[in-house]
Amino acid sequence: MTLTILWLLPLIGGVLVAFMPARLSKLMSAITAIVTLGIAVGVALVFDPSAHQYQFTEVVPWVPQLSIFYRLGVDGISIWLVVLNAFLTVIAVLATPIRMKNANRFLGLILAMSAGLAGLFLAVDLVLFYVFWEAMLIPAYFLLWLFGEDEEKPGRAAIKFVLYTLAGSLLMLVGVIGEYVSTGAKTFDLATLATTPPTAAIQFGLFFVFALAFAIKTPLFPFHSWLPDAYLAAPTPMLITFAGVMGKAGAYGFLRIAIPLFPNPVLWWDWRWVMPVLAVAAIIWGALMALAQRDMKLLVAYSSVSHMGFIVLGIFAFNVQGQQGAVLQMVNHGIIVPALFLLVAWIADRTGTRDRSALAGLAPRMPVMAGVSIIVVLAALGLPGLNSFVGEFMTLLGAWQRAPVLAALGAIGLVLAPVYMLRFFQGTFQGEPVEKRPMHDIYTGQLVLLSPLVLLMFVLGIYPYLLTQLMPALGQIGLAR
Amino acid sequence: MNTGQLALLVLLLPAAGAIVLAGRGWRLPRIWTKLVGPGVVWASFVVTLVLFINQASEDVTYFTWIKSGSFVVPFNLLIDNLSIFMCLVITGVGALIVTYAVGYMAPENDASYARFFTYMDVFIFSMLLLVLAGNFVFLIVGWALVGLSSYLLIGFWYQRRSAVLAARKAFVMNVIGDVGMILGAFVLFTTYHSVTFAQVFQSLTSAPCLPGNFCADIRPIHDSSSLELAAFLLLVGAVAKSAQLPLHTWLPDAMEGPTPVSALIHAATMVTAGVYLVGRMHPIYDVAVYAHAAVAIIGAVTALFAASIAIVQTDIKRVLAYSTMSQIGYMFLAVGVGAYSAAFFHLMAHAFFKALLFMAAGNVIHAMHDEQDMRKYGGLFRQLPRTSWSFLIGSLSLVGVIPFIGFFSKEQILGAAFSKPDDTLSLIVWGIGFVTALITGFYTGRMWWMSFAGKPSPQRPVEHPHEAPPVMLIPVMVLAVLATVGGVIQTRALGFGPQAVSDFLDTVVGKQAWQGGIADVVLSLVTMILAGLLFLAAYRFYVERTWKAWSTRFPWLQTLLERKYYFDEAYNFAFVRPMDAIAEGGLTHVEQPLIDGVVVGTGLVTEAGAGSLSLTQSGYFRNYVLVFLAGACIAAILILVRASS
Repeated sequence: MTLTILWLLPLIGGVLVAFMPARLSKLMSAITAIVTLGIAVGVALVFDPSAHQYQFTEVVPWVPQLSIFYRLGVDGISIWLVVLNAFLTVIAVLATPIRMKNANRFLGLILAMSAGLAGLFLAVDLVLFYVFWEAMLIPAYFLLWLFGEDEEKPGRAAIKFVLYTLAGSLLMLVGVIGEYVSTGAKTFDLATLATTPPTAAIQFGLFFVFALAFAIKTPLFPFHSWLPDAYLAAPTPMLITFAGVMGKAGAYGFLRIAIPLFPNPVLWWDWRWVMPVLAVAAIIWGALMALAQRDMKLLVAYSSVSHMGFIVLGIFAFNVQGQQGAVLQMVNHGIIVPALFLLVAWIADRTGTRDRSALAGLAPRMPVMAGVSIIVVLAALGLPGLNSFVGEFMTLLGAWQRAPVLAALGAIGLVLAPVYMLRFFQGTFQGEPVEKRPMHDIYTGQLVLLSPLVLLMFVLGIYPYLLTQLMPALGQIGLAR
Repeated sequence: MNTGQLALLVLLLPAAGAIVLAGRGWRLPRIWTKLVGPGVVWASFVVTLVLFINQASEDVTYFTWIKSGSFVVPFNLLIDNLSIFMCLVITGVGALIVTYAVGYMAPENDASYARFFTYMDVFIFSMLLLVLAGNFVFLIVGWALVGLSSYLLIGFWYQRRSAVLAARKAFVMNVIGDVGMILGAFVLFTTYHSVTFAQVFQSLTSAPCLPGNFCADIRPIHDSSSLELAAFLLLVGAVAKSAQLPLHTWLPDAMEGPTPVSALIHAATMVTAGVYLVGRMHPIYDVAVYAHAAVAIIGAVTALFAASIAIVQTDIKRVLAYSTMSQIGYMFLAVGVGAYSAAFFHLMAHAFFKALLFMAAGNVIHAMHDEQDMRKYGGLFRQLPRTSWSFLIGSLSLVGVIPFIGFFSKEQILGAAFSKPDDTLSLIVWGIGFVTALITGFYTGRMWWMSFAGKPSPQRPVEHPHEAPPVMLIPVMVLAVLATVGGVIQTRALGFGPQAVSDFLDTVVGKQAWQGGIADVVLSLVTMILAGLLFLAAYRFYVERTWKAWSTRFPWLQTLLERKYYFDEAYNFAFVRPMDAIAEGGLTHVEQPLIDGVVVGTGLVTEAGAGSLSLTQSGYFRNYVLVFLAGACIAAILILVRASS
């Protein structure tokens, strides 16, 4: 029952708070999110790092005629994404201002999206995975559509996002059916499916349809063009879970479905080499696009593309350092990107612009904001001692063992990251101030909101073993242990 | 307390100071900053002394940082004579510099003042981590944190655009070095399946000797090509951090930072990290002969290159900056030919006299109200006697005149290079080093005479300058004493006498394989005399002007040197501008029309039909789903057919 609560509680909470008055809805959302986080952390604490199967499993027949089961379970990689999702939901709820129009609906949708994501990470049945995959789209769509901040063409980003993602996910449905038919195992159980892969030719096709869906969601170069629009449109509290967790759903799909179920997807070419090449392209391309951006929100959005490239590169290194590094990096990126978006939003609130070239010399007027920003920026550019370094180091180490050229090219991303990140930080906070208007430094509430994120940047940078010690406990074969 | 706890204390004291100052420093009275900032560095120095006296030597593991398959990284500190030696230099000279900063930074407001000491303490912490780290990962962590602290310190006056740009340049160049180190660590990990120094070096020596490698003593390897690769990649890091060619352009710009920063970056700590790295990795470089030769060549060329630029600089700090590059070049030359302990002796000597020169220059700049152009000084000798004498001691040490410490350290390097048997390369680098020593005499003389001798320049900003306060004078004088008498601990350049530094370090870096003869001693004295004469000759050129300036005869050379051989321009042209052009061009010509355009193009049909973007009324959304479902079914049937056949 524990795992069911993890997704059902936010869903029920979400439905209820949507009809409450704003103030009460925020309180109730916060309570729901914190309780969920407590349970998720509890699961992580009780988790057995030496077990080699899914833990806390729940199996209930759903459509027995088609051997579809309601099957939940966690293992050493999904547990951290469940915890990350629950944690960022708390942050997102707390970051939502009560003054916002229809705050209750907004909070309800945030909780519903969090429920969908939790279910996705918990599902160990292919059909159930697909159901949650589609289900989380619905709240995301409504959030973007109803609360989007794109004034010029309201709703366009939402449509683009949904159509793009749907295109991938409907193809994935084909894959789900194809997998069922071609393995002959008459089951959708992910652990069993991993032991009965279809022939290489069919794997080749099925890998493509699944990987396309995951690549769009991640997003992986060149399927990322929905991301700048969607991130630009999304209100900041939504971005905390939208950018922080939902992007990881695609990467998680690679790990949970694409690699274990299709270990040998070779026909006309070998997909196992295509993916890391695209990942390296994403690292470099995302970094270059971030360099060219003036809008700070877009800069962060494209830096995300670059960082997700590291994650995919690690996954397709097919060794334990790469894949554990990728999971680590999913968590790290999930901590850093919300912090960046929050800071950009707060700077924009005070100055009225998100254009980094229109800003300068903010540091003397908001010293604490500058201090917090430099920490977050340094974490984002992969400074050793902070969390992101560990993940990038391990994904690149994994890639190096696969093919040194992948790591060497991926390392270009490490060199470009300080260029665009420091342009952002130095451009806004340093230099000669353009105007002398006094501005309020970071509010205490904002500092409190950001402090758990900043604290985690240090903790995971100094003691990453905290996370990796659970990662060898995998629920299915096919991943490096 | 045992060795492990003491070493941790050495490391954590400056970190604690930084945390205290960062958290509350700017709200506390300034006296707290004055006490905490230098205090923690002094305390760290004292603890290092305890380690030194205890003759500690241990590899202490504290906790497992990460474990992923065979990739196991402990947090371990390697306490041996080399790391203790480095810690003594870093905390000892560092403490003097931080104390000096108490006076130098006094005009700053309270917040900036506390911020400055926060950065200084972070720097000391990072540097200590770098030299104490017992594995490659934490070496890289320290390495990158040093880069960060230099970024923070160079960009300290962040309202100046030039400082901001210089800081970013330093950071990015250092990251290039970090990436080299990271890839080097990858090579070593994939070859030896470990990242700790102890295990990597042990696998190095325990493997069988392969034919074709340099296997004179028990020094053989699995595969020399991967070791060469690792050594070259590590060298990228060393070159970036130590501002050697071709990753040197950040260092002169780093003069944008306050003067104690220059002293700290240049003298005691940051730029010597590359020398430490090669010394620490000597088991690798002893085998990787090509990379090892590259170290010597890079060092020699940089030494000459930087010294030649120093001749034409007019900013006193920039002369010192190029002189630093040049002296680090000597150290690279030394480790490159295998004279490790000589390199570390010069590292220590250089820490003394270059910190002395920077801080004395800081006193001059302070007296001249922030004017740094030497052409606007002149005649300071009578007005600033203490500073002038200190500066002269530092200068003579830099030139390498008996009995100052610089003579013994530099001549030992040159002697080792000259006397290395059967090695043409080391003879060539000796030649370059010899020429550099002469140029050093000339540019140092130019700097000293222009600043302190002759008549006051008409453009001098201050008519009657005042000596700096004691807090700024005493550290300078302490270093002046050390630079004067420090040489007695190692007089090997003269062929006799004690050699304390080498004795101390030989257990770690290995004893120098060959001994010098009488010829080196004679050459040392010849070098000294010639360099000294050039030091004096500079008086004729730049003060009396009885000798016509060489630059009038070779104006093109003057321009070439003033533009620093056009490195900045070339890098801008080759890397910076193309990078921005690719980014901008990629955005407008690829990202928007192609990557996004294709998607929007396919979506246009539906968008046109939709008109209003309402989900329920237009129906296009449903159509889309229908089309996809139909396609999905067809594909499913196809797969079914294929699977059943």
